[in-house]
Amino acid sequence: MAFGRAGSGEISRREMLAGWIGTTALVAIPDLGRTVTPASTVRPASTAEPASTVTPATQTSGHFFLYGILTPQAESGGIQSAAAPASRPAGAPSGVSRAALSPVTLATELDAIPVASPGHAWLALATVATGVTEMTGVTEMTGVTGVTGATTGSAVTAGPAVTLAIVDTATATLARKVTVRLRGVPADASILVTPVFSPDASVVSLVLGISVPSGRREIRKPDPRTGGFQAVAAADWRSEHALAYFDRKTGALAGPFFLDDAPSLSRSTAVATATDLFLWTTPDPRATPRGKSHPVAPPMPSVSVFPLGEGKPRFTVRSPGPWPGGEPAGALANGDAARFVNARTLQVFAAKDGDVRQVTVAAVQEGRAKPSPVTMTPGPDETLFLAKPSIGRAVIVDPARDFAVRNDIGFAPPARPFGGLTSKAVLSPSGDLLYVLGGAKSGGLAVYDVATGKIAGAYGDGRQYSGLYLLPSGTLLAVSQENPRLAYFSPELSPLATADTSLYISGVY
Amino acid sequence: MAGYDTAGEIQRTYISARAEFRADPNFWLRYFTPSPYADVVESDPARECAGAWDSGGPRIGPVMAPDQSRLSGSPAEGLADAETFCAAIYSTYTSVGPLQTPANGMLFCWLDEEYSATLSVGYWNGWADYVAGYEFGNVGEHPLYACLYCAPYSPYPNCSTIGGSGAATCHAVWSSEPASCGTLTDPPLWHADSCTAAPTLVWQFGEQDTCGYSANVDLDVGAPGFNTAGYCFYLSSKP
Repeated sequence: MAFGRAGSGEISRREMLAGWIGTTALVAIPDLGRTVTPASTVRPASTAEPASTVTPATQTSGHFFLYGILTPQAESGGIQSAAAPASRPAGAPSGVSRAALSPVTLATELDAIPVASPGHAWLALATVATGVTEMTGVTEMTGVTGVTGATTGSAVTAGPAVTLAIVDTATATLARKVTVRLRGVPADASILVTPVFSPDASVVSLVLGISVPSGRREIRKPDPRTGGFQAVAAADWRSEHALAYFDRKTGALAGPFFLDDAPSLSRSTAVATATDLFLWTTPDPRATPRGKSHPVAPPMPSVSVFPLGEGKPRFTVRSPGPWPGGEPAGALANGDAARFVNARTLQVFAAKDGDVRQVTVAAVQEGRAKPSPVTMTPGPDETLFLAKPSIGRAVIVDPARDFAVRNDIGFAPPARPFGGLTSKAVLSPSGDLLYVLGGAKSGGLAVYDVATGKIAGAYGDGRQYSGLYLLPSGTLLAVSQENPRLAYFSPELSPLATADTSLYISGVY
Repeated sequence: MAGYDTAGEIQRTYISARAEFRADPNFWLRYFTPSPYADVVESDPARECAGAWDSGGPRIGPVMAPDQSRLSGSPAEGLADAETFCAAIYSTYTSVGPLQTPANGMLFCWLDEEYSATLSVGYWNGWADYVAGYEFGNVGEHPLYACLYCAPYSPYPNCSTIGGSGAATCHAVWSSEPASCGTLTDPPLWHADSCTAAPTLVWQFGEQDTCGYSANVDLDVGAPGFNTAGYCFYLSSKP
């Protein structure tokens, strides 16, 4: 992981030519804070509809973070070509200066997609180093560059090293950093790192998928382009998992614990509750003798429940399919865990014994020809908020009431509901309002009254946005495919500002 | 010769598609894990294959549609997704007796990059290299070929990624644009948006929502002279 210079978002042309373009980067941008004002009204979509009352968020000094790939535009204009608002309509909050919105390139070349803690106070970043000397132990970090602070431990060599950095989102500085040495693992292993926060963010579990190659060789395959043969590099990969736990408050590290589950597929799904880590894994089907004369059913995944800090599960049980692979998952208030599979079914796993219950949420059953992304995030009052933009539906279900649907809101699906950023519908902090990308015909944004399910306001500027986020200040951030890629809106859907970025954005935190 | 792609199970989809288009597809392009927002073939491969047989289109090509944010990730992310994808393909193959690899030994495996997604070289190389080197059944066969589904003229990196120096080989592009619409028996003349980095061999000419199809299918056709079904699994009998 490389860190940007404190206070500077720029990367030199020399650095860019050295290969920065096309690499991943994480950029911190100060939130577009708002001054406290009396409750205001959401502009109705039509005069026939009543306005809804909202209370804007108070002034905040937090940050949000863009994750993506540096674009070729950086060559001429620097990494952040125009950070300040390009427009600010009359009536928009004042005090937004160019300097206040200057971004900082926090890190590049991350080896895992950043993960935000519940409540978004912390951000976990991970990198993997192979075959280098590293310091083990915990380092207190005080600056964005990460070059200051005290490190304890000793120097060791060989074996991949996984480094976890915890960023304080309020200040966009590194708060903690720890390195986990994987002794005995070959340097050419592929390490898949998945950080998982506990609900209060006090513990960060690291799920490590370790894939080790052997039998490297060159094979000859038919070449469909030429009709001849081509040489292809091949290897036999064998994967297993390890766990480590980092106590964010004390800096203590537990692990790594190797789970001895080889051969299994490195891709997994994990959820942390206040006391446990739920881990879904799948055996590698090549481990079971198979042949066309004696067909064998595909292996079932399993779920193991580990007490936080431990390498031995309390139990492991079979899980119904599908195999884990990126489905939305999260902890429930009662300590159970849930994952939303096949974009239509909620699977609830009991912390006591892994007993699984499958819940059908009728409102989001409809499928389309294309895969229909679904988000599952915490809702108000320990509920779950499910959004499926491809069919224009969002629901709030209540686990405490047998997963009954508390609210069901229909909206016009956006123009491109399938690709890019997954977040296209968000709840207001109070849970009273639902913000969504505007429909395919209108573009822009729309807001719905959750209680009534009726549209409460809309803003259309002809632009089709690909993602929608609620920033800590309560400001809405809409992301579009071309600059200005960032558009800020008030909770009343008034445009506040726009900004360019030379990142192809694949995540906002 | 046109066929379908769908995120739904074939056995639940083909009847409505047949009622709408009044013809049998030449092939099905179907999602395998890790595709977290679709039904996946390996959950019940025998019934899925039986559905393909009953549909009159007993050819199945594998597609993988991960959460799109992952496509800009690291080589380890790409390798991990490919590992699961190949395992799902292999597991399906060994679960269904009549399911056969293509006669030409080349099974095209598609990575789904939607319009607004960003594909990094690291992810692509981790994914494509693993797919290309995957040994099927430990018998020395390596029938999987890395291919990309994308919108070639999208402003996001797709063709430029697979065409970059040091990028792993992409054997074919399946273009999602333009959505010209048409029917199974009367597809439009070939004018798919194309990449220069790899041959564009399949075109999704009919996208369900854009074209107003009621069945949960998109319509696809091979380039002139390219037989898409020949690069898919085929069924020698009904499972």
